Amino acid sequence: MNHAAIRDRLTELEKQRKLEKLLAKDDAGLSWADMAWLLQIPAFCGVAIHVVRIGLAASGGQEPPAEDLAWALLLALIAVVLHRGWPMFRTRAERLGHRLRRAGVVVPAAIVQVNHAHFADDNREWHPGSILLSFDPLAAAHPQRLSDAAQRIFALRELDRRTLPAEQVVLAWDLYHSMWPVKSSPVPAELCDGLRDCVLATVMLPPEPLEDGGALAALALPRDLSPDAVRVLPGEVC
Amino acid sequence: MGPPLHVVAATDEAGLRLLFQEQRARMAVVRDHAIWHWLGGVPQGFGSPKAALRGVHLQLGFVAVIAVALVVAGFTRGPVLWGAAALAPLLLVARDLAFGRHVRATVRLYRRAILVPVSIVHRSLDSTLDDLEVWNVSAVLSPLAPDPASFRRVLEAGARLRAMVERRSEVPGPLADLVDAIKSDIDPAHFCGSRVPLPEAIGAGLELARFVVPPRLLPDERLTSRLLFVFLDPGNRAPGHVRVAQPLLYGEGGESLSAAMPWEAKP
Repeated sequence: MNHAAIRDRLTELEKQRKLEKLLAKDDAGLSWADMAWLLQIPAFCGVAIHVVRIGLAASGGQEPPAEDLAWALLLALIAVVLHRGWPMFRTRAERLGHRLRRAGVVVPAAIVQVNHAHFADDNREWHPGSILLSFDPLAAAHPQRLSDAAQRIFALRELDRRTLPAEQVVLAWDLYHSMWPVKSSPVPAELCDGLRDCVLATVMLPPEPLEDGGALAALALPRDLSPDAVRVLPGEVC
Repeated sequence: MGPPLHVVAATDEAGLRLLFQEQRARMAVVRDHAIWHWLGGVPQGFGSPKAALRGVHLQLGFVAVIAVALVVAGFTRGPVLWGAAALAPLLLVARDLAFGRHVRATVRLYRRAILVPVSIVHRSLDSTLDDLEVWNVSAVLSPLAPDPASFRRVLEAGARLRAMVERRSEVPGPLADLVDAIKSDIDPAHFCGSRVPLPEAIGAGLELARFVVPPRLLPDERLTSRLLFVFLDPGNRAPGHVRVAQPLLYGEGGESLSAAMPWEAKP
């Protein structure tokens, strides 16, 4: 399955509202945006009840009072605002997740480091790890170059950071301290065998990541280094 | 930014300096990325699972009241509607009191926290927990950013005080009450993460901290060393402001230092 086909499948899953659950390790809890979406139901009920009451009163030949009409308009306005505006209640992370699912690019990725437990035969857990991904079209055609680069970058972890060029110090430090999630770091092309637009990112790795042509398939937002802008796709998506 | 530190000896001045630098950088990573789960999470610091659940209930209550108000608005513009409308913000205020203030207090501690080594002088198993090996600990620390000199002072003061508590050395008269208090205190409520200044005879500027050591925060889930690393708010000695750090915060170098000072060995 090529990357374009995977992207189409993701779009289909997103339309079915299944993708968010597949990409997230755990439930984020109560979302204000979901609650605002739910509140549109009672809001429209309130409008309907009020309109029926006005209609019943008018059927007796009476003109509805102006304040009843204004009240109906106000209730309708609240209902429409909730109906159209509930996404405004999304947190920054929720907005980013939404953008990633809708506009994320499927790119090849290679594991740089991950907890040993990830490779256990009976592993069913998501584990934190670091991956190298590339937006360069060449990377999809030459996954081995990406995986070799991942190994070279992993080796930085054990080098004295005082002796490294500035752009490699950040990579070495991120791998060494091993804490996550942290901002992704751009990787210089010379460390990636000439592949351009490479990024070192911390992610949660699904127990069975989706593999495509010898590399992992990741969903990422170009030019966005925030930690939530990259996800490794689990095998279940295809 | 230094070399990878896997083993650091207590006598290696340069190694210790690099280790404390590295630990400060690790704390900076946590702060810069607001990845508070490395310090215990939010609001677990000062809240409790019960408080978090109460917060969720109040949030649901707020939404339910708004929903009721929206439906009621179809029938009436009377007191029932305004009553419901007034109750909704009250529920949000109650949610903040039950939950939000714990979040703020926790984040305040995490933002100010520094990582320091502590020398354990006494430990007792928490008798209220049968299944888990949870230790209540009294330890000496210096509430300032550590350096090799302050580290040595903490170790020396800890060793001296531990010898007194274990009756291996004579207890000077002015310290008798303190030593007795450390030795006899087994009330779990006292190990609340608070600190008190120690008499100058033990060491100027040093403090005694009492806190709980949850096994999940220890390298092998067992307290085997007399050296631990904790994070604390230097400006606040109140309960909850000293907490055990997890290994990724003090690094392999810190782990090697702890491993080199087993509890069983007499300091």
